[in-house]
Amino acid sequence: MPTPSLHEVQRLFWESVAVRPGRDSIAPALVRLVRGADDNDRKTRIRVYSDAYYLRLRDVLHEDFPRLASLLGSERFDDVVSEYLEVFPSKQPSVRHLGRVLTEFLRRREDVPKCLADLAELEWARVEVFDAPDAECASIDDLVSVPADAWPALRFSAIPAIQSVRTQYPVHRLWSDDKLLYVPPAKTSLRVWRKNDFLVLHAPMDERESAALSKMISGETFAAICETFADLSEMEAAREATGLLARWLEDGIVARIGGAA
Amino acid sequence: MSFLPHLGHGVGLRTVHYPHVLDRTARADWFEVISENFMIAGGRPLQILEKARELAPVVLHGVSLNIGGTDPLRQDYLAELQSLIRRFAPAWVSDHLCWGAVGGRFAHDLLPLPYTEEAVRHVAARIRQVQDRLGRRILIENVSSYLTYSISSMPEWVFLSAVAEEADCGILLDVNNIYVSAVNHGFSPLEYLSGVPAKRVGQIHLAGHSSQGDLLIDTHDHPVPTPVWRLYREAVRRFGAVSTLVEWDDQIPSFDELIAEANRAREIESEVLSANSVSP
Repeated sequence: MPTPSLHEVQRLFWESVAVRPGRDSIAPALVRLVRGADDNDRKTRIRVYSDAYYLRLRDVLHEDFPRLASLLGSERFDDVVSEYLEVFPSKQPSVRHLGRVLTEFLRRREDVPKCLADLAELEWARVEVFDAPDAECASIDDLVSVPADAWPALRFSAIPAIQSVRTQYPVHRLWSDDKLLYVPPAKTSLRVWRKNDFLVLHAPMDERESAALSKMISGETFAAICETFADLSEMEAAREATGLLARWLEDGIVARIGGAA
Repeated sequence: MSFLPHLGHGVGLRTVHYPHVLDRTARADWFEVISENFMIAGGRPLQILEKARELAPVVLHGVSLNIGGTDPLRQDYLAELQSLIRRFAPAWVSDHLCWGAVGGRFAHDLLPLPYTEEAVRHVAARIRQVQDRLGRRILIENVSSYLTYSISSMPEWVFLSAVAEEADCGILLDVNNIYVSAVNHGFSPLEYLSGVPAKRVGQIHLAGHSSQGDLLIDTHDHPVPTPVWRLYREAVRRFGAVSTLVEWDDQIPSFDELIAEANRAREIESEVLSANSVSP
C-alpha cells in the first residue's frame, strides 16, 4: 500500500471522526494507519476523537442556545445538533460562529415547533450583541445644549451592539419563564442590546418603537422618527417621541448625537 | 529561549475568574489567554484583557492556527491574530503542533499528525509563513494524543525538535501532554525530555488529566497529578528556569486554588535550581 499523503490522512481522519454519535463510519484505511494492539484498540483510539468532536461542539451550541436546549430536551437537542453539524460543519477558526445558521436550519425542519426557531433567533442575537463593537453612549446631558430649532434635523445613531428581532411568537416569554413550554403565535418585535456594563438584555417593542428604532438605526432625523407618531396630536407626538428617546438614552442604545446632514 | 523573558509562574485566565481581574485581586506572575476568545469586535472579554494586562504580562495561546493542516493558512485568522498582538502586546504567541481543519471544515480539536519527513517540512514551512506574517517567532506546543500512525518514521520528540529547528521557532513544552501521550503510547517521558533542544523551550504547561479505559485524556479538569509534578521536576533539571503556566479549563477551582498550583510549580523550580546550584 502506498504511503498516504498528509492531506489524505487528514481527509480520512475527518470522515471517520466528524460523524454523528453512534454512527460507526471509521474508514478501514484509517484503521490500518493507526497503531494498536488490534482493530478494536485502533477503533477505540479513533473514537476518542469522534466522541470529543461531537461533545465539544454540542456544548458550544448548548451554551449559546440554553433555552432552546432546555425546551427541546436533552435527547432531541442532541439529535438536532448532530444533524446540524452534518449539514453545517464549522467553517471558521473561532468556534464562536458555530451557531450562526442554526435558526435557518431549524426553520427548515418540520419536526421543530416554529416558536423554537424564533427562540433560537433571539438567542443568537444575544450572542451577536455580546461581542459586537463597542461604542460610547450618548446621555441626556448631551441633549441639553441642543437648541430647540436644531431638534428636527438632529440625527442619532444606535450603538453597534443592538439588534432588532422580529418573530412570529413572543419568544421573550419563553426565554424568561422556565415553566412555559409553548406560546401561541403573536407577531413580536424585540430589541436586543448590550448595556454599558456589558449585560445583554432584550425587551419587547410595540409597533411604534420598532418603527422608530429602525429609523434611528438607519440614521434618519428626529423629525422622521417623530413621524412614527403622526397619528397623534403634535403635542402628544412630541411627548411620546421624547419619552422614547429618554428611554433609549437610559438603556444606553444611542451612540452619539450628530448634527444636520 | 533568549528571545523570551522569564515571566515566572502564571495561570490560564478563564471567564469564571474575570471578576478577580475587575477588582484587581487576580494576582499572578502572568496570564495566558486563548487567542480565539478575543477575536471579537468588542464587549466584555476585550475589556477584561485590557485590565488583565495592567495587572501582569499576557501571552496569547491559539487553538485554531491549524499549523499542521493541508488547507491554506487562513489569512483572515492571521489578520485577527496580528490585530490582537498590536492591541495587547503579548509577551509571546503560541499555538499547537497539530492540525484541526481540512476542506475548510474545523474540528475545533487538536488532532494528531503523523511524524514523517513530509510533515516536518510541511509544518515548518507553514510556521515560517506565520512568523513572517506576524513579524515574530512563535512557540509551538506538543499536544496530548490518543493514537499514533503506522506511517510515522520518528518519535514525537524528534518530530517536535525537527520542526522547531527547521522553522526556527520556540517550543511550548506541555509536561502533562508528554505524560499523557507517554502512557497512551508506551514511550519514556524522560527520553522525550532529553530529546528536546533546551535552547528552544520558552514555556512549560502544566495541567491535570483523567482516565478513560486504558487511555489518559487531557481534560484540564483536575489538579496537576503527582506523576506530572515529578516530570516537571525533571523538566526543570533539564531546561532550567522556564516560564511555567498552569492550565485548568473544566471544573475550574477558585482563583486562589489555581494560584496555589502555580506557586507549587514555583517551589519545585526553586528547589530543583537550588539543588542544582550546590551540586558538584
